[in-house]
Order: sequence, then structure tokens, then C-alpha cells
Amino acid sequence: MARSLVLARRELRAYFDSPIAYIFLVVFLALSSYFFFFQIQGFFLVGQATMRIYFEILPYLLLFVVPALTMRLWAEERRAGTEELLLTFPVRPFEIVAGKFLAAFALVALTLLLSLPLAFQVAALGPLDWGPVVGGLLGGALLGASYLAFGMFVSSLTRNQIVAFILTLVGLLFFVSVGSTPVLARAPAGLAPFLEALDLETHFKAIARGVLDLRDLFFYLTFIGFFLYLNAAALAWRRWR
Amino acid sequence: MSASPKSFFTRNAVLTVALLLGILVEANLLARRLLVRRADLTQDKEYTLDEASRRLVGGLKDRLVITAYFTPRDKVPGHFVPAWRRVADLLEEYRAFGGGRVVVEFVDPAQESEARDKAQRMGVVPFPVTVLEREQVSQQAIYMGIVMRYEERNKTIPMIRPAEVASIEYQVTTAVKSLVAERNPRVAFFSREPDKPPKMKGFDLPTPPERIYQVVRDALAERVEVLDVKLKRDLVPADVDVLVCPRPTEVTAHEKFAIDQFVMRGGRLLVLLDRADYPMAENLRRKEIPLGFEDLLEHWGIRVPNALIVESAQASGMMQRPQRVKIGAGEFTVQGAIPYPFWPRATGEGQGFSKDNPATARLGEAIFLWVNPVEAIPERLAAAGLSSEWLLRSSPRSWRTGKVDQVYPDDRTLGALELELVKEKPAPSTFAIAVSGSFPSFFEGKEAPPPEKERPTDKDPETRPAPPILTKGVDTRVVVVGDSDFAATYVLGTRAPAQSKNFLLLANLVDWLALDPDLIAIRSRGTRERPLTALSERRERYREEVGIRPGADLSGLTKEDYQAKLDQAEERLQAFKDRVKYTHLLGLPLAVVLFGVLRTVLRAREKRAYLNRFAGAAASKSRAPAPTGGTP
Repeated sequence: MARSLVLARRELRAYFDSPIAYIFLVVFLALSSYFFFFQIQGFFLVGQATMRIYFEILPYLLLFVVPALTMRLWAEERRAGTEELLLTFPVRPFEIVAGKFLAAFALVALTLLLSLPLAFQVAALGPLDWGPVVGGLLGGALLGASYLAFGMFVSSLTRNQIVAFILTLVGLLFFVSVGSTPVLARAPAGLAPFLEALDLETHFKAIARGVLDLRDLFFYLTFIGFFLYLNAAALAWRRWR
Repeated sequence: MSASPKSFFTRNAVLTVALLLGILVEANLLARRLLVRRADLTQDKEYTLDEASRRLVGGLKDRLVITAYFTPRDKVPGHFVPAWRRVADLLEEYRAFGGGRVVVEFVDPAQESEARDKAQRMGVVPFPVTVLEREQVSQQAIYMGIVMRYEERNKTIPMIRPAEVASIEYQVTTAVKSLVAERNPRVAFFSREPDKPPKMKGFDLPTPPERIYQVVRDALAERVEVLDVKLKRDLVPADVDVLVCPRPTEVTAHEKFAIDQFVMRGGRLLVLLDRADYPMAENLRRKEIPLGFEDLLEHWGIRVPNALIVESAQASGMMQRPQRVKIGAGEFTVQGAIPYPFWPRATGEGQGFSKDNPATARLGEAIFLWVNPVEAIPERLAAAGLSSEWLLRSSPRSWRTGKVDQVYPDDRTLGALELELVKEKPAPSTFAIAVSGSFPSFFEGKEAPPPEKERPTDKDPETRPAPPILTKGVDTRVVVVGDSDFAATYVLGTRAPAQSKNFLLLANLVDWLALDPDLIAIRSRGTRERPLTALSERRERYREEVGIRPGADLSGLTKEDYQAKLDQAEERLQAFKDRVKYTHLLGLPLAVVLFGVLRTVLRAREKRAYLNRFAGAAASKSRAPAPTGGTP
């Protein structure tokens, strides 16, 4: 774990040494504020002291920015040929994966924390209920982590960043829409509850209401764990090859 | 043929992944059943279904189908969205706690005509809303009704207004409760109104005009069983759950005894009383109504002072009356509406309804005619171990008076009254209270009054052995309202009385009294409105700045000037909103960019310093004298 943390720190510094972190933060913050205030049913039009609009668009914002972050994580290493060097280090594949994951997660978490000024603004205008804000941030962090885990796994399969981006986007689109009403309406009756349980957004919505349900947390943890494991397995497999 | 290590590894890996996936899926399925622990972080515990509701849906024997006839969320106006979400969330809770027996489906009635017909057949009513979008005003019909089906029976909540959302759990649970119940509650009306003519095939005999609560009886019959009781000779039948006494007049000893004993055995009582009448035929001159049972009410800690509530103009109902108006040089008489101070109008915003009682918490408005106050007598209640809560009250800018003889809506009467009242400090008066607990009998230690004749012409009633008097009752509730007109046909009207706001109040009171005590625990809570109060305050401040604060002298202003000032204040408010929007849209991203630039500059400087140091070391090295001797 200590080695993962060292790796994570190095990766995180690399984010801030290059324009990646700034572009990520600026795009995310600007888009979230834009949708919060300027969409048709924006904050002032609804006229309620709530952050729900923000948390409604959060899954979709993350859906576009997280693949942009994860696409290069392995593809870049493979293209530059540094992956082989990394794999010769005396660290287990899972530690490398965890290190990269933690660094990317720290960036996503920072982005979410930067939404707090928005929450304070809302609280200054009306009686904001902080429960759903805490729930939404926690849910956002778990959702972001799930996107990251999946995106990193996809990135480990290819050396082309564009391919990694598109595959991640398509895969995540599947995971956020598989439990939506139009899909469920057409799915065989027996399969519907399973599909609904697989939907990342359904679990996020449940938490973002301000309700922490162990089942939702458990789902996210297994989802993240599974894809991180696959990622490590893919690395180990390449080491063998 | 043996497999190569590579293919062995690949097969192994695939197998491991498949196994892991299977375990995780199974673990999640198990978790869905076992890890049912949750923490509701919301302020009012909005997402925690009340214990009573959970028990109810958890114990269903058959499948309950809840069909939400809702216009999709992205098609409803913005102010409907929170209500929409809240109801959807709540239905989801019912489903989650239903243990597989509760099915929730959403149907958009606007989408297909079949669904629309069905919705309308089930009593779901669309309501028109005016939408302002992109400077265009349009009318839109919104559906937000719920139909619940259980064992071939249906219950419908025709429409849910955003203001009613706080108590939607109460509405749904009561509806489900009545679907599941073996029998409907029985509500008896104690009144001396003439009987309704018997139903005969082919004949539709008109209801006698003196039967002024018939409309209410009919509308209530949709949800409960309604019957009439006469109490001069008999006691209230044992299977009656609620006794309604609309406008009791000269209650006799035996009737009082029957009411007392009904309450003693746990029956719930609703009294709608008036202490005076103001007949139109007598120019609205006050006519005392002898109640005959004030002593019984006082025994139970309820006082009905002989006074009249006078409301401020803002909280009064409007009365039509001829008015003299000047147009040009001429003077004409036209029908106009004036605020009539003797018709208090209770509103949700005006805090006329108690928010703590499920019967009143969700009501938006109701109007009452010539109301007298109803108060609790704290010492009596304490002595009897009873508790009380107020349900309805007049506004803080209201008075009570015992001096009014005529309530004619002419300027002279109203003006004189106003002059009289401004000298006194206004204060809200309660005019409906609920008392709960185990009531003491008024007849304890007394003889039971003998049965009487219904009409003087009746022959003497047979003497029966007096039943033993119940002296201490079981837990029950008594509600007394200081107005009986609000539920009368002449106020409700005969068209769609069930949708009248006044009827809703009465129906809620009856429901609240008739239902299982554990349902009463469902207080309306949750999704309280969270208006942007700082914004409204700012609007007031801007209006003050442009000179139109409340109470200011606006006599010199024309209507156009006034409008222009309003617009000016709105413009300032809009500018404030824009400031907030752009600060967030540009401010934070700009801060991030600045941080990035700063970091890059610092790093560049650090790098330069490092390179310089390196270059310096290299230079000093090159200037050093060449080592001597031993050159290769």
C-alpha cells in the first residue's frame, strides 16, 4: 500500500505539472456552473434552495470528463514504451493500478469539493438541507471512482488513446442507462431487476437524495474492486506474455 | 497434447474472472436482502417512510399496483419538479418496503389516448397551468394523479398540487389502508334535518331544501359509510366510528347523554357549531342559536365563547354587493366584491391551518362564514388528563367582538366596526380545536335521562331499563369547529363538491377521526418548500429603494408609474442574479487557471535556478587548472 501511495503522489504531481489537471478542473467547473444556472429549469427558475440540479447533471458531466482522464493512463504508457519499464519495478501489478487509481481519484474528489462554493452560495440564498449535499458528494465520489476503475481497465486494453476514450464512453453509457425506464420497459421481465441493480446512476440517485444505503455502497465497492482487479490481471497477463 | 503455459494462463485468467464476477453478483444479490441498513441524512428524514406505512405495505396479502398518471418530469413547469420528484421518491419507498407485493408504474396520459381515457375514468384530473417560457405564455395540462389497485378495488388521488406534497404519504397510506380494510368506517350524522325521501325506481324525489348537509353526506359516502342517527330515544349504534354533529341546536338531555356515552365508548366526535345565525331574510341581523350542550363541552375542557371573529381585509373572504362608482361625471351602481370581515379565509401561507395535524397540514385554503372562537380550558384539560391542539385559527390581524348585532356589508356598519376595533390590539383566535384522551363522563353520578318522543305526536316511548352509565371513556378524540356553514350545501355548491377546498377540510377531519390510530402518527413532514428567502428579501429591499415599500404613500402615482417602479426593482434583482451566475461560471475556473499559471511560473523559476546552478558549477569546473602529470 505504501508503494501505491508513493506512486499516487508522483502521478498526482504529474497531473499538476502538465495542463491535464487544470483543463479537467476548468472544464468541469465551468460546465457544472453553466448547467446549474443557465439551463431551462435552472436554479433561479426553480427557486428552491437545493443542489439537486447540480447532482442531476453530475453523472453526465463525469461521463465525459473521466474517460478523458483515464484514456491516457495505460495507453500512453504503452505507446511511450514506459509500461515495460514500470512492470519491471519490484511492485505488484495491483499496487501500480491502485497508485494510478488513487491519483486520478484525488483529482476527481478535488473537483467535487470545488462544488462547495456553489453549495455555500445556495445556503446563503435559502435554507439548504445539507444532508443531500453530503450524500450527493459522497455518491459523486463513488460514481467517479467507478467510472475511473472502468476507464482505467479499458485503457489497459489498448495503446490508442482515442480508442480508449470512445470505448470507455460507450461502456459507461451502458452502465448509466441500463437501468433507465426505456431500457427496462423493453427488457424481459425477469431480467429487469438485475439490469436496474447494475445501473450506476440509479445507485447514485439514491445516495444523492441524502440516503446512505449500505446496498448502494456495497454495489459501488464491488464494481470498483472488480474493474481494478481486471486491470491488474490484464497487466499481469501482459507480463506473462 | 499438453497446453502451452500461455494458453493455460489465459484459460486460468478467464476462469478466475468469470468466477469472481459470479461471486460479486451473488454477493450483491445477497446484500440487497441482508444489508438493509440506511441512514437518512435529510433534515426532516424525508425519505424514511413512516413506521405505520411500512407496516401496512409490508403486511399486504395481495399485490398492490400503484399507477402514477404523471406528465413526465421534463415536461412539467419548473416549480412542479420538486413535487414530482418527491412523489416519485415516495412511491419508490413504498415499492422498496412492499416486499415485492407493491408494483409502481408511471404512465404519461398525454402520450396515448387510451391511457388518458383510463386516467379520467379512474378520476384522475388534469389541471391547467400557465407557463411562461421564452416570453410566451401558454396553457398546459399537467397530470399528477395516483390510482391504487388492490384486489379489484381502486382508490384515486385525483391530483397532487405542489403545495400538498408534504402530506402525500398520509394520502397514499390512508388510501391503501382503506383498500385493505375489511370494512369502511361508519360515519353517522346527528341532525334534525328532514329525512331524505326514499329512493324509488323511476322517481327522483328532490332533497328537501332544509337538508343542508346532503351534499357533504353524498361526497363523504365515496370513502366512508354514511348514516343518519336520531338520538332522542336511542343511543348511537355500536358500529358507528364517527359522529358528526352539524349545527347542533337545543340539544336535549337524552341526546346529550347519547353523545356522552358515544364518546365514553371510544367513538370520535366532530362538532360543527354556530352560536348565532344571520338570516338573509332578516337583513343579516344576529339571531342567537341555543346550543344546549355547552356544559358538556366545558366538562371536556372546550369553551365556545359567544363572540364573532372579525378578520383583516387580507384574510377575509369576498362578498358581492352593490357599489356606487363614479365614472366621469356620472355615478352608477355596479356589483362589486368587497372583503367581508366576518368571513375568515384560512390559508396555508397565512398560518391559518395547523401544520402539526395531518387533517389540516396540507390544506391550501378554506373559507368560513360568521365564525365564533373555540378555546381549550387548560385547567379542565389538566384535571381530566386530556390534551388539546388547535386546528384552525384566524390571522394575527384579527379581532373578536361580542357587540355586533347586524353584519350587513354596508360602509356604515363596517366603518363603525373598524373604528371600534382599531382601538384594540389584534390577536389570532383559534376556532377549531381537537381534544384527545380518555374523557370523563358528564353523567357520572347522575341519573340517565329517559328517552323522549321524537315528535310531540309520538306515543310515549316504551320504558326500557336504563343502560349502565359509562363514567370513564377509552382513548378517543373530539373536534369542535366554530362554524357550521363551511360544509353546508349553500357554500359547497352542488357541482363537484368533492373538489371544494372546504369539503377537503371536512373530509380530512372525518378521515383523521375515523382512521386507525397508528395512521394518525403520519405527520406531514418532508420536502418542505425551500424558497430562496434571501432573494425575496432582496426584492423587498430593491422595492424600498425605488420608493414602493409597503405602507408608503402612493397616492401621487399612476398605475403606469407604479408598474415602472416595480420593473425597476425587478431589473435590480435580475442584475443581482446575473452577478451570482457569472461569479460561479467564470470565477472558480479563473481561480484554477491563475493557480496553474502561478505554479508554472514558480516551477520555471525553480528550473532556471537549478539550471543556473548546474551551469555555474560546470563553468567553474572548466576554469579550474588542468590536473598535472600522468596524462595519458
